[in-house]
Amino acid sequence: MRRLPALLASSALIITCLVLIAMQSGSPLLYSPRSDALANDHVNTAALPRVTGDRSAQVLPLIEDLLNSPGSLVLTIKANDYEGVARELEEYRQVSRNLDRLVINLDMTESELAEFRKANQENLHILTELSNGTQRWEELKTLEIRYRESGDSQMLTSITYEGESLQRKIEDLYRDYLDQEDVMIRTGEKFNADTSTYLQSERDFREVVSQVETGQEERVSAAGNGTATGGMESRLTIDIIDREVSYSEFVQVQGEIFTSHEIRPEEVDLFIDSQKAGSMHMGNNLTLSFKHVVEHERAGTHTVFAVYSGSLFSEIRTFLVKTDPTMLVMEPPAHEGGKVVMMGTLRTDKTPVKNAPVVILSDGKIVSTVSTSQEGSFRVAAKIPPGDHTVKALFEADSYPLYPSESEEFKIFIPEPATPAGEEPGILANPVHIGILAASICVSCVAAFFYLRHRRPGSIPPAPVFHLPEIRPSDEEISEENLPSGSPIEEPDRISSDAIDPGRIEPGRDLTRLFSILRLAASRKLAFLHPGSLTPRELCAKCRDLAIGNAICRFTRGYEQAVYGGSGVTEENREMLLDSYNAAMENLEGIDH
Amino acid sequence: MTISRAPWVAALLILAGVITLLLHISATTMDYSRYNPEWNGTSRLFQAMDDRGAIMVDRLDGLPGSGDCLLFILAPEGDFDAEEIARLRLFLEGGNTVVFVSDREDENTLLIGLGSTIAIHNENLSSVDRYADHPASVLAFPSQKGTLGTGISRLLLNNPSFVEGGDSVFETSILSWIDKDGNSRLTGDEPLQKYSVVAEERHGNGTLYVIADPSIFINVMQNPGEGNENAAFSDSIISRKSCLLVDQSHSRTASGPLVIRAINVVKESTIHKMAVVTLIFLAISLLIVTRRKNHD
Repeated sequence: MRRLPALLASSALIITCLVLIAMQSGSPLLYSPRSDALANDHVNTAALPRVTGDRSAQVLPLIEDLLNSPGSLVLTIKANDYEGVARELEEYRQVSRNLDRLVINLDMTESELAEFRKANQENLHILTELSNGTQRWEELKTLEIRYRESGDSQMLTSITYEGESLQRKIEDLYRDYLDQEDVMIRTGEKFNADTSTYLQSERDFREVVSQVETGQEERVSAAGNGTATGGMESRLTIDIIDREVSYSEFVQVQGEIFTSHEIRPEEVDLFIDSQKAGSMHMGNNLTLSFKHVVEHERAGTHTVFAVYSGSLFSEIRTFLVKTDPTMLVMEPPAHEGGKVVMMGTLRTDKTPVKNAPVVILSDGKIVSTVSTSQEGSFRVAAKIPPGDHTVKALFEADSYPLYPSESEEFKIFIPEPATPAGEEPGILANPVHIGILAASICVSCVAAFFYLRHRRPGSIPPAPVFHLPEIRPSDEEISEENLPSGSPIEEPDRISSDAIDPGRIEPGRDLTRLFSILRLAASRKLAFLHPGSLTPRELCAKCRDLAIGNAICRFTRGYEQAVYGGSGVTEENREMLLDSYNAAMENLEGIDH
Repeated sequence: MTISRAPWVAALLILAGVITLLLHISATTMDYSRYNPEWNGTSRLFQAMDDRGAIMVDRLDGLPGSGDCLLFILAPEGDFDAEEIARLRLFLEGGNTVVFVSDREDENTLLIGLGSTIAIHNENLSSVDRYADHPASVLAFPSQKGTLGTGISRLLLNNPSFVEGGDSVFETSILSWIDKDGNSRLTGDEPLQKYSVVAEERHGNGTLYVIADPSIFINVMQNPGEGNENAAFSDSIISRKSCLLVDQSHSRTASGPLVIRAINVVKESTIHKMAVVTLIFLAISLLIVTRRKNHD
């Protein structure tokens, strides 16, 4: 009785422990620090991958280098050491690339460091152009001396015009360089970098511009305002209709030509910034005209002049390209075929921006670049990894007289790709799996066959029989019970009451023999395993639900009373035992039929 | 034989169950708890402080007015009443040192009460300079000023706030920002700048240190791994003065399961110890008397 409360208490404790363990290990099943990495106030850093620590140690020297590089470069340009300029420009590019990589790696593409990077890229471009411009300027100076010595006034005029164009370009570059000062100096000061070299570079740049301006003034005065050559009677004049233009507008140039020769209009060439832009067309009223659409011109002043037959030059005119704001409108992204489709338009106040690059950013990283169509629209399908993302479109306007713009940001959620039902790799997809499955089925079948065969009554192996020392079985019993399976056995199917004298029935011999026979017969008919080990009660229990159960149980009860209870075999008991035995044996025969 | 084994098996099972239950209910995963040996507890720090003979202070009104002690207030919660603030101020101005560690702006009331110009700002401080791949794992470096943690080259912070005022002792690198939009990234309207995370201020003859990140004292941050000097920083604090007092009246480090608190109440009070021993003797006597009566 004491065992029950103890068992209940221990069961309750075990169940409680299991519940507690289950609560801890519910999700995920296996504990890992990563699954427990976040608390309200802190994160479990042991569960997070380590990163390189002091990364500002990489950024600060880069910023100092990028502030110092222009100063050194402008000085070298000023000294006309073009080999040195080429070398320094390459070094400058390399340092700039390092910053680009760092900004991207540190995911700072939208930071003020990114502004610094952009200003630096602009400086790199300006100084490259300045290097090219001053190099050409020096070439013009050499050519000027040569043509002046040879008295080639036409080429001198050409040089003067190109010089004019170069001067304006270098002046524009200087203005652009000054525009970067704010970002460069502000960032430099913030990072405690020395900005004096950068400020000195501006002064040196100014000196280069002054040198070019002075040189051009001298050249113009030496040429004697040589706007016309080829004879006093020849004259070529041009005018610009609208001197301030914006993106996609036309620069309209009109001109007149007076010459004693026959005019061949196809020989009147128009130069914008010293680059041939096209030939002027002769209209019905004998005026020349040319239209140039503004698309990739930098904002600022540009020079125009015309040349007829390579010898008659017009005066130099200028026009100003203004910077227009842009609007980049993107529609909410849509999922389509496992990709995110983003579409929108890019336009100025007046016109769409065509063939312009639009960058698609996801979480600040470029996922795609697309060009706008003639209508300024764009459409791109980008593959973005599953999870929550913020996407937007960006127009950087690098080579356009336009301000950059960006679209509204959209938060999107990309679900994990669901495997289509038809493509689900089932267990049968792999031949090895099929083989393992087939082998296991075969092994199971073989095992089942042998098991069933083993269970057949006729094939039950003889079980060892254990007897108490005082109830030793006769030799006959031993021989019967140890007969090999399937061998015929001579059983007394019926025992008449006369065959056994009640007075002579001995609990240790005849009655035991009857029980053994009955047990063996029942075991064979009903396929019991190890029949020799069945006690009377076990035999009764196994047969209780059968038709013979009543007779067998009656016999086993009488047997127990007589043999174990010490009551002996009385007349009444004897009859009952024999009746039960016979009834059981009859019923056992009936099972076969 | 089988029958005689059953009570023993049952007894063993019950014993195992009871031990498991006791272990379970006596352990805790509470943030900052000194009884929490997991990554977010402060058991490691408290072990070190115990080794140095730290005195746990349950009531601030018992603080000495003058002396050369260091009071460590780690991760406080709840309001300090005017009397406690006055006592703390007296303690501080009497030449003692207070190291106040909190990332909550609520504690600015106490700092104002102490006459401090230091203020805690609970913002989402992030940095490019980090030691784990998470924006909250910010690195701080020693400033020019300050004397706390001399020789420590960097502190590993964990979801820190920042402080303004006082003399900066440790600050983040210039590549740090307040992640206002919570996108874990640096965006255009989030300027880069250095943020002070440990500040120092003199008050009378005493010194107040404010550390804006209690998480640097949790077990995982005290693990002396490569480049982790937080444990050295803790050591420098707790060994700064020979008299180390640790606040347990407002600190979240004192929070723990009922069983442990009960055991500690008994451990820390002689009267409670005597009461428990008396109770045990009474129970045993009662048992013996009852059994004898039944036997008779």
